[in-house]
Amino acid sequence: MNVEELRERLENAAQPPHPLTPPLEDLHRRGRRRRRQRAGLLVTAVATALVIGGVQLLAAKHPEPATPAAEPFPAYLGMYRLSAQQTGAAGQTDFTPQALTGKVDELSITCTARDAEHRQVLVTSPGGVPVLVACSRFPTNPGTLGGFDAGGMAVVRKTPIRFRLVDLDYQVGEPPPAPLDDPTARLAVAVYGLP
Amino acid sequence: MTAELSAVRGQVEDQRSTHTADFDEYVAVRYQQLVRMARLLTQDWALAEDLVQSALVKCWGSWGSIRNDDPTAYIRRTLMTTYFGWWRWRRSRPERLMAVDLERSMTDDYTLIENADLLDALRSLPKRMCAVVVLRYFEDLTEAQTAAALGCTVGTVKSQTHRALRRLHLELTAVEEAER
Repeated sequence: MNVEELRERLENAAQPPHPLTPPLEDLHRRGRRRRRQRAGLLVTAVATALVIGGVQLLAAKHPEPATPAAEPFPAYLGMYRLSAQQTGAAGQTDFTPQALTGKVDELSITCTARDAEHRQVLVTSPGGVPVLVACSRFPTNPGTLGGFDAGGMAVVRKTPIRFRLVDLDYQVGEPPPAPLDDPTARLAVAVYGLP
Repeated sequence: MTAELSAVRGQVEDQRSTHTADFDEYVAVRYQQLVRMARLLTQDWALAEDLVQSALVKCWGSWGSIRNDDPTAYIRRTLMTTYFGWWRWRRSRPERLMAVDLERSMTDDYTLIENADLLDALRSLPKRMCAVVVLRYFEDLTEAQTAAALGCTVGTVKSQTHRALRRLHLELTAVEEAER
């Protein structure tokens, strides 16, 4: 069958057996209904987008509070008893030994932070030598920072000690880095003492 | 203020009624040709009317913007996308008429009997190939117009046309030989 023959046969096969009249009224009715449906869908989509955007905006404005320090400090760690604890923001906290409850001869501390896996804690006090201590997500056995008597880090009860999260590659002697630009990075410090 | 509002409302109403009248006029003139084309695509008059009406309903809302360009090309493209969408959705082949149905429809559709082999051959083609044949040899579109209607390249139209003609030839020859 050549192309002309095909044209002829297609023409013949498409001859309607009866006159075809367009249902104009029905088309208009269906068209209007379709437009209403599409407008409804558009409104729904815009409303959904607004709600999602609003929720995201609210979430950005009010960040979910971070877990204080991953895990709470227990009352006892081995033979040490919890004397004081406090939590800072932006990876930093200042602790004044005067706040200690009870009699503590030496400052044994443990530090926790939610993202402690890649960090350590730099401990500085005015006039004292900076010290790096380990930081963990879970409270570990306290490390002795120094005593109020002779020996160890010179600790003055009235002088605040600054604890700051630093990266693992930080070396003592380098200028201390700026506090973390993350309000949710909370460093928690607990002081334990012998009962 | 109220007068201005009613004037604007009147203008919108006038515009809408002009669009409606224009749409009606266009459909009255082109409806038969569109259904005939759809009949070759679907091989069924009822489906063809459904297909054309669905395409026209889709174009109804945007008639104001398409009426000034080339409404036929737009409607043809809409018809094709609707057609492919239908078959993609249904996934199965359309119902085929049995001998009883053919006898029953003989009285009002003589073309069905005369062209049963051609319609069967068209039905056996992949949908896009069938559309290429209909657009090229029934609508007499150029390759570029066919490509625009199908949303594909001219090269695709050429290759599809070549394959479609070969398959149609094989199908129709096989039917003729079987009849002998």
